[in-house]
Amino acid sequence: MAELHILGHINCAQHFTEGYSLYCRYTVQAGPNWTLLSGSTEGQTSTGKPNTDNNSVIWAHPLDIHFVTRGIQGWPKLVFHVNCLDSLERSWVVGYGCTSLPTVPGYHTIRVPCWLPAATSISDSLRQYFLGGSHQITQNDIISLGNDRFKLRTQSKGCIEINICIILRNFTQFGVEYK
Amino acid sequence: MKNSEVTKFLVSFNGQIEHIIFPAGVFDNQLYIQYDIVWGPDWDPVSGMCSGTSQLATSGSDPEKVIFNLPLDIVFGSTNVYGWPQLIVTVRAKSFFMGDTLRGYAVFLLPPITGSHELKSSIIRPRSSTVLGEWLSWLTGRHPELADPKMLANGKDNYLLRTDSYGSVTLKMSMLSKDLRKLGYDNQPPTWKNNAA
Repeated sequence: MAELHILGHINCAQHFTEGYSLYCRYTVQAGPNWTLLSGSTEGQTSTGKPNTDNNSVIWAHPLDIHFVTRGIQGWPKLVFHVNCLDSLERSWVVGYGCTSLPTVPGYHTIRVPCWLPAATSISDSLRQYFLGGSHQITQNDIISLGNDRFKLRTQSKGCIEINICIILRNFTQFGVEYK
Repeated sequence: MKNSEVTKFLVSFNGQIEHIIFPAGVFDNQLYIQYDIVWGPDWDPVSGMCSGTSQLATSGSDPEKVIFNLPLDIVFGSTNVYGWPQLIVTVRAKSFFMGDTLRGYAVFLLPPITGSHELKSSIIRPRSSTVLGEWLSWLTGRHPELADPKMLANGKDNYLLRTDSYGSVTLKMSMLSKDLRKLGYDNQPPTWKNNAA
């Protein structure tokens, strides 16, 4: 069976304008043909304070995941929930993002743009502006799927930068053409 | 040896930790770095030093940059790519007033692709989780330190940390592998990607 190795780091978050410390929860989602051999498919980064010079948060969170697969359907995806932690130790969601992993071996720098459900009423937006907090989605599969998004109103947020290296094993042996 | 008998591959890393950049300049008298290499369960070091300490260095004409040029030459053997070695650099400062203090940590993944690579990683520094602790570290100039910096390469307990970032470390590394492709692994980017870049 063909194997996929994902090595790298969740490097940083950029252009999030909250100004609070940020952390990120991530999950790796793959189709039913994919089996996890080692590594973990979910985790949480450290809570980083934004840089004073360019407002980016460094996480440098290591990723090392080993998958084995019986088919090419459901190539793994990374799903991110970015949260902030303010000076009063309150925490809320400030961004959702999703990226499919590259299918080509080698180094990749991926910038994942994030979005957040927008405030729907004036009182909500006033409350969020002065007191903090945000709307969060109840069905997390909306982040990685394209359906059911029509009535969702969202707001653009910053992006997450990940640096990963993909190593494939025995794909050509099973007739998968990636080059 | 027949193809089917090969079960182990060798990876060699040659390079150096070149310099550190602190964007606001280095005010301490001297900086030094310690490095540790962390690897997974199936890996074994074959030759080379897996941890070490550099000289005490100061900046030159450029006040933001401290050059170390600390060489690293390590060969690893493994049967599995999982647990690819990572390099953890601890940056420390020695000054007359403060004594020996921590400047931060930088984490690198040693390059999994053959060839020469220049890697840059930001320095992160743990913060106290309480306001009193932050005042104390501001007052004394000493920051919280990790009991075991190797935890940064694991990623399981990172969520307990609060960090701050400042400056970066630059590493130049060449990677050479043996029997990696014979075992069916493909780590080389296709030629069209190199041409596009």
